Formats: sequence, structure tokens, C-alpha cells
Amino acid sequence: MKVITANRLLDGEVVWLGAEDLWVDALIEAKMFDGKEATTAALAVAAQAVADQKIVGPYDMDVTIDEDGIVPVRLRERIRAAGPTTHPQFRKQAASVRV
Amino acid sequence: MYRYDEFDHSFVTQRTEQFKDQVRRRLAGELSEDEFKPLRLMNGLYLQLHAYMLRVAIPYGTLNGRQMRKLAHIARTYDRGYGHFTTRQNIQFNWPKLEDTPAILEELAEVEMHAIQTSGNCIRNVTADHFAGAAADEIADPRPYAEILRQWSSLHPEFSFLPRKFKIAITGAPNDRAAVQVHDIGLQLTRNEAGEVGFEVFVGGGLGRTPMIGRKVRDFLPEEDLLAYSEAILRVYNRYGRRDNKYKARIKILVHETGLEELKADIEAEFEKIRHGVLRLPDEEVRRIEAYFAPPPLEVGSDLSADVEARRETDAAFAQFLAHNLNPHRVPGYTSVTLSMKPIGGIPGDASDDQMDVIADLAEQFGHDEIRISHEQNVILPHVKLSDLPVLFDKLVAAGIAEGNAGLITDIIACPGMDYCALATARSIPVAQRISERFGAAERQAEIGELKIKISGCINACGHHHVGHIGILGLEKKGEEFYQITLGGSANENASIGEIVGRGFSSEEVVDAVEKLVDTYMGLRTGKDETFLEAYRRVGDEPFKETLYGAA
Amino acid sequence: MTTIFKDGMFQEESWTRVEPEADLPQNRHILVPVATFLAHANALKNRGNFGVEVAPPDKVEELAAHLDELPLISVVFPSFADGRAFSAARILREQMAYKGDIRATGSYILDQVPLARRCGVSSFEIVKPEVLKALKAGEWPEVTKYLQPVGTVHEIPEGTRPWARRSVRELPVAAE
Repeated sequence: MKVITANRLLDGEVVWLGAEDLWVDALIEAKMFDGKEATTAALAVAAQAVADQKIVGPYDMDVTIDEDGIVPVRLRERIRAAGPTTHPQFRKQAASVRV
Repeated sequence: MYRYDEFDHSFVTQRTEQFKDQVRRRLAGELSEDEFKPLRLMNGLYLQLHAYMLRVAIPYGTLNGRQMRKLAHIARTYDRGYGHFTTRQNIQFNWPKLEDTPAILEELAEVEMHAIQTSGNCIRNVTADHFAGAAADEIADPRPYAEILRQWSSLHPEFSFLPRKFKIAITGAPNDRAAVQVHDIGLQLTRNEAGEVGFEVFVGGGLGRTPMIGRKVRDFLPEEDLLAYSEAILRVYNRYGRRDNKYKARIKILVHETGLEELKADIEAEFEKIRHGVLRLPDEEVRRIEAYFAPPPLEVGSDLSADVEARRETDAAFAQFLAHNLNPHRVPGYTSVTLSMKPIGGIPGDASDDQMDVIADLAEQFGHDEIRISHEQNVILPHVKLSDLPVLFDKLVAAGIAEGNAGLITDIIACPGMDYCALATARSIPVAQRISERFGAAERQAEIGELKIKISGCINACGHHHVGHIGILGLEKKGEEFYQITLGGSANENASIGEIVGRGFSSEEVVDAVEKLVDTYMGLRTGKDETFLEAYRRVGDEPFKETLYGAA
Repeated sequence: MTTIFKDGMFQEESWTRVEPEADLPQNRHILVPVATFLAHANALKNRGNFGVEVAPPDKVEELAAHLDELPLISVVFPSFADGRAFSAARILREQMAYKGDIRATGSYILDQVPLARRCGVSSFEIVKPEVLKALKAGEWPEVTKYLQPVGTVHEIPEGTRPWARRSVRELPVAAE
């Protein structure tokens, strides 16, 4: 399974593509895409959002689902979703993300 | 310290306006991200793992209280209440909003600061010995030359699109604290037989994927030739440095592939063409710039007073601080004090807004309003009266920056690693924190003595692991962090690149591995005055391999 | 036709680039590589209507014997990140005293135009529409205080620092 992630242009915050093509702040609200076709279509939505000056640097990333919710496969993405492991006070609201 | 005149103010103000317009064009959709990226990078603005990151230049690590207070204000107002001092003596803010960056730069310009050339393929912030102008062993203050180089390299029309970034460091003391031999250009101030000041010049040092020690290209470069010779090196590099592979684009690769003698000849030939031109430094102008760096009026004082000595006897933390965090000053009665930004278990190089305010106050109160940032990510008050040490120490304790660990095993350099950096392959800071906790006991650190641990979270080596006595490189293997250890690196006047000791360790194992190395050293050293590095150089890596991996 | 920006004016010119080893087309303005020029210097000088295009790896020093008979030398930016053209232009102007037109060509960005001019570039072949648009709008994104003296562009020394200069016009202008 994949989700699409990027940074918001204005403030640089990490965001994910959610329902109704909105860019959401919490991984738990991200929309999941199954299969190459769905991912390609989602990346096209992202490309449009880049052109519309909403986000920068979109890409797709692998995730799995467990009892806690959506879990990125790579450590880098888990840190990106949760915030720096060294600064617990800056953890994102995505409490479902474990690092 | 250097003060802007009208010209410099206009220069920075115009640059700020220019960047403001670039941000406006970006937000208005007139610039795409691809077009904007090189422009924002030239002004120190990155897009990192979680957010934008703004790197602010602190030329040769020198600033005053007013400037430090401005950095505190920026951390508080536009960021999340802290900043991070870097190995280029700069500070970076981890959470600025793009739309706020023009305002931040305007605030910086008010106190003669900027973010010019803190990124990009250009000449970066010129670094210098953090004890410059104060150290007892100094031949001459390197900062006037660093300032001249800073000016010459700022928005250079020819050298703003080099094959790769370019770093210059300069030291004025024979004991090299500026790591000049691992820079693209390293300058070591020296005197010739006639007593004139000049430079030993090293070219092609660097860390990263292909660590190399700089090669000496000049035994003595006269002062007046500093800019012409630098321009000659840069022109040769700009023309002939590789551009086909960014990992082979630093000048060290050009030195390596061309050969030292041929490259030296190219540099000298270019230098001959321009040495008598407009770049020749007139003596009176060097002296004029030098005057900005004139030491503050310091009255010769006496050695530690009886009550300071008495406190040393009874207060172990104070004694530890005196033992490790003072550097000999050239004026009797004074010392240069290292404020440790490495609290036990803390994040190397981080300072909160409140701490920055305290540092500003203390600099004004006790330090003739001078502050330095060291490439080892600490803060220095270069001119402190010995008799002020007890009261200064108490204030440092209150601010949490009084750890007496400068140069010891918990004084770790660490890059931001995967907690912040988009390029990292593993985390650095948490490893530094765990090592710091493991060795945090004051007596144990003191017993181990000088030991420099340096940690990088990827092969680009921002944490200088190659020149750590113990270097740690974080990599990714099958989705897990793992850490490779190097031994025997050093960045001082006897610079060397550390050797990989063997296979890497998991995140869980790496601190134990470091402890085994330290225990092995403690067991084999000839005495307390043989440092880890000296012992390693004497015995080689066999005993260390054996302790980590068993007998071969 | 491409737009050339020179002396503050825009004009349309047509230049044909001759590939290495190719025959020289008649009746056209041609840009030839350095190697082609050196191989056919006399023929080209007799023919006229040509310029020499300096690719980034070329050594401009090889043109030294011919400078008086070269009305146009172009220096190429294969991408904005490749800054070798800046050095080529400065060497031509400052070390070789070239008096003809030095033309920037290729994928430079707007913010490099003022830098290139300081290095001695005197005209610009414009292929990027956004660069054309900006120059036509009078944009000249430059800090007009300079901290490096460059040899041949007229600039005003400022203060006691021998390396400090300011632009002859402090206000951003389209060109001189």
C-alpha cells in the first residue's frame, strides 16, 4: 500500500494526500492507494498541487496497516510522520505513528 | 569585531530585498520550485525532512551580545524556541516558514547578519580558530584575513556556480583548532625569517565520501597575495574541477586526479597573471581591517585568587569546569571560557532562546561583548577575567551550559542526522545522547581524558566522523540503522583520516562497542597523559579489533 | 531567430550552429566550435559572418592569436549550474584584452545575467522565455555594491577598500 507525501509550500510542514484531494497534516488521515494505477493517478493529483503552489516535492511511500493505524515501512518516513525523535515536544499529532 | 559601514549595510539590505522578491515570485507562481531551489539555497534556505531550515552565517564564528539576542528573538518568534550551532560555526533554525524568511533576514540585517552563501556551490562561511585574538599560542589573529576573504567571496560574480561547495578555514596558532587540513583551502598563519606574516597554504582537504588531508601548495604566501592567490586557486578549480559527477566535484578530487605538482603549477601560473593586479592587498588596508579586531582593553591580572582556589577544592563540578573548559589567554589574568552546549544526555549544539539570551547577557557582563561559536558546536567567551569565573560559572549552571566536558568524551560533534536531515541514512543525535549518558559521570570522563567522538548520519560526513578519534557513521542496512566505527582520525595540525575498524553495529550495540574501545584504551595506555589518539597511534588497531570482534 | 539582448536593446538575429566536422553553410551567420575555427581559421576569416562558440571545457587561451579578427565569441552555459563561462569571459577580457562581443548562450537564469555582465559578457542570446520577459520588464536582479574588482567593466571604487566597487548606476536598470 502507498500514500503520497510532500511538504506544504508556505510553511514546509509534512503533509499527505487525504480524502477529496486535500493535503492533511496527520498520516492517519492519509488516503491509501493500492496498485500502480491508483498511485500514478494520485501522483498526478500531486503534480497539479505542485503547479497550484500548494506543495513541493511529492512522492509516494510504502505503508502497512496494523492495529495502530497507518505505519510507514521506512524509518525515515516514520520519523517524518512523527517528528524528530529527539524533540518529543514537537511530535506531530499523528499519535498513531510509532518510530 | 568587524562593523558594517554604509557600503556593507547597503550590500546586505539589497541582498535581502533581492531574496524577498524571489520569495514573492515563488509564492506568486512566477518561479517554479526547480527555479527557486538554487536561489533559496544561495540564501541558506533548505527544505529538510520536516520543514524548511534556515542557516544563518556567523562569519568565522564571531558575534556579539546584540547579535546573539537577535538569534534568540528569531528562535522565539519565527521558530520553535531553539537554534542549532553547526560545524561551520553557523546557526540553523529548523522550523521557519517560507513566508517568514524575508522578515527573518530583515531582522538579521539590523544586526549586521545574513544567510548569504551558507549553502550552494559557492564559497561558504570562512571559519577560523574559535580562540582567535585571545589564545596564548597565537602568531596573529586570523579573523582580519577571514573577514577579507569573506568580503571577496561574497556574491563573487565568477565563483557563485562552482562545481561544488568550497570551504576555507584559517588558523593563527600552530595548534590547529580550525581543522584547516580538511578544508578545500586551509590557511595556517606563519612568520617567515624576516618576521613577516604570511600563510602556509593547503589545498584539497575535505571529508565527505572521499576523505582527504589537504596538500601543501605554499610554505609561505605573503599577506599581500592572499586574495590573488585565492582567486587563482578558485579559477583553476572553476575551470577544471569535475562537473560530471557531484561526488567527484570537490577540489580534493581535482588535486588527486591532476596530481599535486601539475595543479600547483596551474595555480602558480594563474597567480602570476593576476598577482600585481587589483587584488593585491595594500598594507594600510589590512591594518585598517585589523583594527576592527583589536583586542579589548584588558588589564593584566593575577592568577587564580585564593577564594577561587578554595572553591575548586570543595566544588567538584567547578573544579571539573576549570580543568577542561578554559583555554590559556595571552593576557595574564584572563582566560577563554567554553560554554558547553553538550549537556549530559542533551543534543549537541542546540541552544534554547533563553540560553541564547543568557549567553548574550554574560558576554556583555563578563566577556567584553564577544562571543564565538566553535566548529565543535560550543560557545566561547574569549576574554573572561579569572576572578569572574565563580560568578560566571554559577550563572552557567543556572542556564544548563556549565558542563565541564570540553574536549572530553561527552563533547561530541553530531550532525542533525535522520531526525532532521533529508539526506541522512541514520540518526546521529540519539547515539550522541546515549554515549553522553553512558560516560556522563564527571570522574569517569576526566579519567578518560581527551577523546573526540564525531558522529555523522550519512556518508556526506557533516559530523566529521573521519577525523574523530572515534568516528561513527550511521548507515542504513536492510531498513535498519547501523553504525560503522572508525578509529584514529584527527583534525588538528597532525591531521589524519580514521580507519574503519571492522563491520558495523546496530543502534543497540554501538554504545557498548564504544565503551569496549574506551575500556581497551584505558587498559593499555602508558599513563593518564597518553591520550586515546596517542595510544591508538602507538599500538595500532589490533587490540581494538580484538575487543570488538574477538581474536582473529 | 533568437532574441539578443545587447546594450540595453533587444534585437532578433539568426545564427546557425555548425557541428564539429560539418561543412560550413553558405550565406548564413554561423557559430563554430573552437576546434573547427582553429582548423579553418583563414577560410573563416575570409568568409566572415561567423563567431566562435566556446564550450565549457575549451581553453579560451587557444584563441589568443586570432582575437583581433574575431568579432564575436560566445560562452556557453550548458545549465545554470555550470559556471565555467564566467571564467572564460573574465580571462578573455582581463587577461587577453579581447575587445569584441562576448555573448552568453545556453541555459543561464535571470539572476546570472548581472554576474555575467560583470565578468565581461556584453550580449545575451536568450532562450528562456522567463529571462526574456524579465529583462523586457526592466528587471536586473543585482546587488549594486560589489566586493570584488573585475577588470574591464566600468565601476566606481568605493571607500578605502581596494576591492569595493559600486555600479555606475545605483538603481537597478535594464542595462547600460
